[in-house]
Amino acid sequence: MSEFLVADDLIRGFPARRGIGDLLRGGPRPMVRALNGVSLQIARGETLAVVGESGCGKSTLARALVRLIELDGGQISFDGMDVRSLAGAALRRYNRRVQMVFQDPYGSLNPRMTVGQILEEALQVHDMVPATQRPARVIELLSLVRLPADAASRLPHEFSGGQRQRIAIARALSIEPELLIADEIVSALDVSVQAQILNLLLDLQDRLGLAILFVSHDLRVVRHLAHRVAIMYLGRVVEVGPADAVFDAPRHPYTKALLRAAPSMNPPEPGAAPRRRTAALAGELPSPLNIPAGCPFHPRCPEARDRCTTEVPRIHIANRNHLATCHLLK
Amino acid sequence: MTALLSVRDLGIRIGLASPVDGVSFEVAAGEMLGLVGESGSGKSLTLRALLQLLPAQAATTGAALWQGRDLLRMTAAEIRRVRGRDVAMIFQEPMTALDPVLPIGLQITESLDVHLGLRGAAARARAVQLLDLVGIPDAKRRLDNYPHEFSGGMRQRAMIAIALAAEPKLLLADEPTTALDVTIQDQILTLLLRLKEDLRMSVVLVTHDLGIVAGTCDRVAVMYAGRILESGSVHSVFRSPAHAYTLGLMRSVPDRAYARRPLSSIPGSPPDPGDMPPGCRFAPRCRFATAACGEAPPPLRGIADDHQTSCLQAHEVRRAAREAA
Amino acid sequence: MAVSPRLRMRMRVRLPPTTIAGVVILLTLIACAAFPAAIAPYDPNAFDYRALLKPPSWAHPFGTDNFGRDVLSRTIWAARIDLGIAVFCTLFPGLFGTFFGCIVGYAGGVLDAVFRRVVDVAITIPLLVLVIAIIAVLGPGLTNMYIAVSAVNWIIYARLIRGEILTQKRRDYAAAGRVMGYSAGRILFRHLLPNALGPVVVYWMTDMALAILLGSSLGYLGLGAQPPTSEWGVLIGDGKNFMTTAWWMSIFPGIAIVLAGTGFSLLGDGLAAVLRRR
Repeated sequence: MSEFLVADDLIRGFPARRGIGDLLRGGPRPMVRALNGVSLQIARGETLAVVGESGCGKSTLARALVRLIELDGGQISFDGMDVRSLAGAALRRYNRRVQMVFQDPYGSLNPRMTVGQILEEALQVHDMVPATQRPARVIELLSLVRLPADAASRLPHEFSGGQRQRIAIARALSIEPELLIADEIVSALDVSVQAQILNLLLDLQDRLGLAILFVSHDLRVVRHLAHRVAIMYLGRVVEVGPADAVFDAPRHPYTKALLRAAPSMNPPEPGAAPRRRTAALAGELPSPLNIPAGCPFHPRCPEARDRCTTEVPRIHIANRNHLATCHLLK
Repeated sequence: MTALLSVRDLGIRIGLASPVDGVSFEVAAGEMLGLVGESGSGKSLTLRALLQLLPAQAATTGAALWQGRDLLRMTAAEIRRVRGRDVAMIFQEPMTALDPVLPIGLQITESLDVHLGLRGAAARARAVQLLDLVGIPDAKRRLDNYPHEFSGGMRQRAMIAIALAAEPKLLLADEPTTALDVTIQDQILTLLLRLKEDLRMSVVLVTHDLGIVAGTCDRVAVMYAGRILESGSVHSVFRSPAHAYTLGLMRSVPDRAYARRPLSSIPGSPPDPGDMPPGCRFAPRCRFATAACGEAPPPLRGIADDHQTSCLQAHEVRRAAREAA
Repeated sequence: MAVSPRLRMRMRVRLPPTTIAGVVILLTLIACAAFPAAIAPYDPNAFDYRALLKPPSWAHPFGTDNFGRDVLSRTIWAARIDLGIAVFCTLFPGLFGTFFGCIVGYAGGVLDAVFRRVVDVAITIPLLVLVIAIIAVLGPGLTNMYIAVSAVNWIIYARLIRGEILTQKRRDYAAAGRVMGYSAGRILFRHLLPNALGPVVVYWMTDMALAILLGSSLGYLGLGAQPPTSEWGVLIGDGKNFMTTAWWMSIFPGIAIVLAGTGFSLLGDGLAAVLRRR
């Protein structure tokens, strides 16, 4: 299966503000290295989950893939095209094939347009169906995301968070993309509403053969949805592989810590061993202005050795599909 | 064992709405109770009512007995003596809960002064001890740091230190880890567990995350639309949920065993606070509901050792839970 | 999935009595402006030598001036000039300023930097002084006054809308538009502008009140509308030599100005409240 979207060594830094002290001291402008050499691949029809905590760069990655943010370095290729060099009509064609749904259900819909207008606009700009058929297509799209036809005449503020996310999904799907980038789309929703959206995504993927890049901080949600998982830390991918492999046999110490830290639904037996008294991962996330030398994870890594403080680890291939960047995997 | 805190039939009215209605639960010494529910369930309001932290327009009914005295009926002076000293509270957003213009050390010693009469060098020494206790490294130097100089997790620890300053017997935690990353959340919860055990402190933990409750709490109360639908020991409730809502909630949580299969989600959405259904408030969305469920609000009744439910269809629900497992 | 009745109730706009008062005032003035011949009891330019400087009476509710002209009729006929001032001194600057401010706000970069410097300079000079300076060059008269005010006033609108556009630009629905492949023009004018217009429309109401004040001040000074045109400021000017003997010549047109200003302000407040609620 040819890889559909390939991201290679993506780099993006944001200049940080300088205090008066820094200005007086001189020297280079401090940079927040949001993406520090990220490489990923997605196959057609597959769900790749990108997981990480704050500051890992996953949202920057998502936005870079749809050209909302420009990169400083690296290559993105989609179905053979070089995405970074697209412009004008070619870029618009790319937008048709790769779409995005955002995290905030309350900000991502224009408050002054009705749902029907929002969806029809998409159909109109990309000339999806003739004008006379647009209203019917809008109703089809609404039923695809399990919303009633009368939603078309209402404004976004009349809907709940979960419903608005569904409208956003309908908007993204209206132009029939092949890859959907979901940037933490269920993080702001209640658990029972999350479940509805996750079910919807599973269903849509089945029906439409959609590929999905699912960005999230919640491992439990990711486990449920993903074929493959990539774990990010401080702007790099530290582990990537099939969901089962990553969850059942994690290679990287950070992945192991994430899995241990995730709340489980199984309470301990009464009278059994008391609950764990040590946290899964000690220490704090280092400031992104000051990423540690060598392996960026080494200050918090329970298994760190001398080599980890000086050398940046290379990719280690655990088996055909499962990769991790850690010195200890040799 | 007499309970440390006994809440009886707590109700909160704001205008025409009753966001909290008939809530009763108990917390024993050294025990962690999880108050779990989705947004709009009234769990945060319940917590704030206990320390009289609700807005002026809210009217409370019922009683919250703390060592025999009713917290809800205390005068302003009396409740001020309880706050911080006997019962402390930590919040979701440490940046807004901490005073941004005062160093952390000062916020701790202030509490020590007001509640324990500790001042000067003795107070500072105790403050350093507290920061150590909550796992903030380099405590002596960090006493003089301002909140914005701490990271999210550290701020939450600082807030816990301030809360513990006067050695309260009960800690109310309002979603303390919701705004934190997973690994930091794990650190804070582990810290709370350790403090609970070492200091023999009781905790009421409000959260929307069932996983957190399973991993840290001894007992749990499930809230929906202002009422407690089910409560009991964590073990009993999680192994054998006895309310349709609890079962639905658990089934909505993605679980490793059922990867890539549709989750059973709860259809519809919670009722409007001004427009509550008569009878069981979950009935309109419930697939087990019968006509009786819509008539009158069902009371909590015991169905097993330390396990109460208000579901009229508890048997059906437990059977369904067993079958699916 | 039905919208709850409570939500629907919140959506129905409830107008407070102050806003209704403002609307009534403005409608009255608009009626005077549209049908002065029908409403005014006398010809505003008709001299009546038998009734010079007569105080208010049943025959002449606002009295007469030094040429025997009925002050009430002149005040009514002046309404169309003053409302015209309100419109022409605000509409062109409003439209142009909004359009320009949108572009600047959305484009950012060098254009925005230059614009900000221009604004910094412009706001240091009082509006009246700038306008008078321009009229000094062009000469007095109503049209020249429109030109002078428009030339200066547009900056305020541009600045206002630029700020709103900057805010809206950062919202996710703007980003969504870009991801959908919408053109910059479509995102700016179809999406951002409608959401940014609120404060500008409210300001426009206030500006109309200010324009009337400005216009009548210039009229009083002889720099705006020229006599014998009846314009409230001119009428006040006509009466300035008779303040102690025939106060009604100046006072009633003055009250008309106050009324107009109040009407626009109340309407503006009402609009602001409605737009805030959304």
